Amino acid sequence: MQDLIYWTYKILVYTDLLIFLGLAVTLIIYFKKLPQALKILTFLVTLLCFIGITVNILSTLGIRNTYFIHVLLFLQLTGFTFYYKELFGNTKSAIVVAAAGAAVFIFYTIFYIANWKDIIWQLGGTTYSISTLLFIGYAIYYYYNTLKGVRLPYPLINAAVLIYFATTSIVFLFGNQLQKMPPQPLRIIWILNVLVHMLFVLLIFADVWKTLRLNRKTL
Amino acid sequence: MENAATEPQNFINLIVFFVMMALLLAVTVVFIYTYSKKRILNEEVKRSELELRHKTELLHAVLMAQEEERQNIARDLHDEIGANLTIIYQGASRLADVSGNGEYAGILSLTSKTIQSTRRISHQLLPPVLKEFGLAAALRELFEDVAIGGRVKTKCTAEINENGLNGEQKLNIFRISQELVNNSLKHGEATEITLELAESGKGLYYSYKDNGKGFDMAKAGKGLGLKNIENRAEMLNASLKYKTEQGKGVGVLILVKYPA
Repeated sequence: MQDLIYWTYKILVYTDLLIFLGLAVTLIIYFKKLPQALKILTFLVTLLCFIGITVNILSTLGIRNTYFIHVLLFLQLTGFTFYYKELFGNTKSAIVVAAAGAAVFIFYTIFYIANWKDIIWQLGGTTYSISTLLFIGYAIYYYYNTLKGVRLPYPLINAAVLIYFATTSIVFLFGNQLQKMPPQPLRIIWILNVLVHMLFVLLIFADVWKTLRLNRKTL
Repeated sequence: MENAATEPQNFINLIVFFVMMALLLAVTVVFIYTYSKKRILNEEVKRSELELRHKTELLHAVLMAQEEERQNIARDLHDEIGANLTIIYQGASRLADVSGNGEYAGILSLTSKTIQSTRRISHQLLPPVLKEFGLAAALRELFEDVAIGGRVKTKCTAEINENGLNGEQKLNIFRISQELVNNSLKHGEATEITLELAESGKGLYYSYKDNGKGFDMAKAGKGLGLKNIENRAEMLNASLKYKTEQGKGVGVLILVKYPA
């Protein structure tokens, strides 16, 4: 049974990475044709994909990789803040997004400078969960704006952000306690996490595909 | 020993439960949003349909009022002014006969020309042939009138069963043709004009061409003439296409669908 869970987990992880890599490659190939917001997403996805592959290689080699979560945190914070700011254009909402992102970024920078020795080997915890809450806030703010009548593109990417970060925030909120658990029963949580991540990537892929098809039709 | 093993498992189960709940909540939010957005979009579509219907009704009312006004003017010209001019002409003619004086000749000639002009304007405003003999006959007459003088060659082919068209549709097609002919002569300086009106499946195929100066659609904008044609095509529920370029004449294709 444990073997089955282990192999299921491994297959899912590699499938997820493969889809993620496919998304990154697609975005890079069509980079010139993409609108600005998707160009920002290209940078983010490519770097996240690179980190994902590195983390898995390190994990396979038995090298500790948990500190990557902090790189991930800063990368996602910067990437999604710029992405949503670009999406909202020259509106008050863009200023709100930029201000919220900048405030959390400054808070994290000070926090990490002051506590880096204590938190460098921790798996996220409250710090990561705060940033995921910010992304959830961005996604809800997007919905609020569109329901108010503002026309915003990429609803599937927004749904991906909301679904992925709503679930992953729970996992990383208990990250430090989970680190102390035996690895085998933990796998079910990582399987869940990978499945949600796969959904996240597929939803982004769908919106990117839609945009590229639309571009081709209008050309 | 058993307790120690079940404790982490319980903790993991709890986290799995929270994750599932968060996932459910997020998916529910996405669904509620999608449903609300769809409802808002449906309401927007309904509103724009209502606006469009209102606009069409308004356009219809304006065009009908315009037609009614034309009819009134045409009737007044024909029945009042035309009739009075005829009486004046007859009176002047009688006076000329009695006096045997040649100085009435000028008055008689001017009155005769004015009677003809009145009749022509009255017929242009409301061609009696359209009501009496139908669209094809009215169009042929229009094109024959244009060809008088020999400067412009015209060809009008209208082989249609007019039963599929009501009076208003016939009038709109006739007015479009008048507008196109007017444009070809006034702006296009055309020397050849052709019109083909034929049955096509479940509708009417209308093809108009001239060899005039043509115009650049992008630069031309929409003057009153083109706007009028567009409005009337809209009233006909017809598709309208222009094919024109600077120096290459004008082609207009209209497809009028008969009501199902």
